[in-house]
Amino acid sequence: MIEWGLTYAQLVTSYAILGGVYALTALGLSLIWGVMRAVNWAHGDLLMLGMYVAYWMVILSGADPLISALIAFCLLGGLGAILHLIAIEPVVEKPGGHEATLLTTLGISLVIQSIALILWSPSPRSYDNIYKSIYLEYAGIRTSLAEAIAFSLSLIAVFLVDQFMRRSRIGKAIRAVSQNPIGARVVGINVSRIRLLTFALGVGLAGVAGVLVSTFYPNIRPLAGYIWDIASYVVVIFAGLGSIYGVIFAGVAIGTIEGLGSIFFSNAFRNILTFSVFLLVLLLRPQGLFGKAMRRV
Amino acid sequence: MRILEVNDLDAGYEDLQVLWEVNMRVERGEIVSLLGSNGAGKTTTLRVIAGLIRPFRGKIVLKGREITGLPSHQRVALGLSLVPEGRQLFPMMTVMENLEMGAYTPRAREKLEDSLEWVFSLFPILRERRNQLAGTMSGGEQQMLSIGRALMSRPELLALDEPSMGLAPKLVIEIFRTLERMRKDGVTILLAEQNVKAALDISDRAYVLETGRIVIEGASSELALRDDVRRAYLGM
Ligand SMILES: Nc1ncnc2c1ncn2[C@@H]1O[C@H](COP(=O)(O)OP(=O)(O)O)[C@@H](O)[C@H]1O
Ligand SMILES: [Mg+2]
Repeated sequence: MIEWGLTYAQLVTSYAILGGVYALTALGLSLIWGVMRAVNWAHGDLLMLGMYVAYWMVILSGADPLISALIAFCLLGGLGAILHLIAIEPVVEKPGGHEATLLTTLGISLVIQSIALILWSPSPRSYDNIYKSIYLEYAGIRTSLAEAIAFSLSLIAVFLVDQFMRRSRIGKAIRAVSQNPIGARVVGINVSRIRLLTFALGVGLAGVAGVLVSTFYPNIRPLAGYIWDIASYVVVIFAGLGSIYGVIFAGVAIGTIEGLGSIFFSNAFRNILTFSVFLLVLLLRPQGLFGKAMRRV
Repeated sequence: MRILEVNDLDAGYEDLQVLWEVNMRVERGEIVSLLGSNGAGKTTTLRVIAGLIRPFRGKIVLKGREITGLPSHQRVALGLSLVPEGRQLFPMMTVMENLEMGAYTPRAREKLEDSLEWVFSLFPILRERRNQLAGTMSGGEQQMLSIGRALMSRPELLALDEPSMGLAPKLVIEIFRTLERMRKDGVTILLAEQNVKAALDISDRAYVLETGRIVIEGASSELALRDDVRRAYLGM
């Protein structure tokens, strides 16, 4: 009985740790949603590219994955900027433009997956690194150093983004555009530039998340992205807009719920529990657990 | 000296034309009213002037320079600000943060401290409320904040879209008095209003829009005496 309990605790811990990374991907999605009311269906695929950045850096140059995190932030940030100019900016201000982004980003998602399949084949990969061979143990629960680092760095990244949003001129402009795009334009903010920067930032964060998971994830493959889309969107809606720390809590909560789901249902059906919680939140508190109801002034 | 010129302006939304051959001018130091009943096209005119929508045809000239194709943020940098319909504040930011956002352009940021003192002297209530979230303030306070935020950009020309909307008569008088003080401080004012009496009282000249066309223009004091204006807009 005690052993069973431990196994469960172990499983839930692993998922809760994944939840930290969900928070990071969800943060990018919620920034993008806030600023341009666009849904980015390619977010998980961009995270997948982050995994490959780490993989190829290790294979080609032996670079430490933590250095790859910075490289992936820049590379994917740049790619994000290009994708924004192709898929979002041309449609977002047109009538029905927000709905159109569903299609354009889905298109980007398919293109990224196809190119990744052609370049890297469908077979899963992983790479050796020092972090996944070291284990930490607390009260009988073991986690690899890789997972602990992924969790802590995700939270640190979320914290840094929060500081950036509060203190920097661009961060304040991003908040202004999410709260009132017309207000932003009349104070002299170049709103299309802010959209570009926000999309690039969100995608860059997905790249970082990809690198962080890749250190312990055995399944680096071209179709690894979609699981992250689903989980991260559930986190975004669970947390609601406007609270960065809500995103952290919601990420870990959704991770934990997935862990519980994999115990009580089979692993394949763990999403059932996640979605049930998700529907419950939508019914009872549509602004999210932490989101303040957005009031138009 | 002419600060704004609007020439043969046609504008609207998608394929719906709202404005027809609108011509206006504003001289530096004036208060000019743009009057008209609901749906006449006042908001559309100000949106085109501020660069929030593109006109179908026609020209906007600011300080002798054509700005028709310029994006809105560059117009703010050139000294043209709009207090938009519905105030459009940042509801989850404090009064202070809203004012700081008003000084977003580099030119305005240099004068931030100075501008704050100026805005607080015009609207003392904003100093008291500086740590309150904009979304939690009363309608009148929000209108003052929206005007204050626009002043933070240090505009030479300030366009206001129905600042009296939804406010009690006493507050309207207070805000209009402040507009006169702003003019003394060197701000030229273009005021779109349905409150024709109050607007004619403080403005030098006025234009009247009807279904998207300018039908009357002239000195405000003369318009206030005209029978057609009195009957149609002053209820006499
Ligand atoms: N965003 C919009 N899309 C389509 N039509 C609009 C829009 N805004 C205003 N209109 C129409 O344009 C006309 C003029 O409106 P508006 O400029 O708001 O007038 P006013 O400010 O004088 O009340 C009205 O017929 C209105 O229905
Ligand atoms: Mg109007």
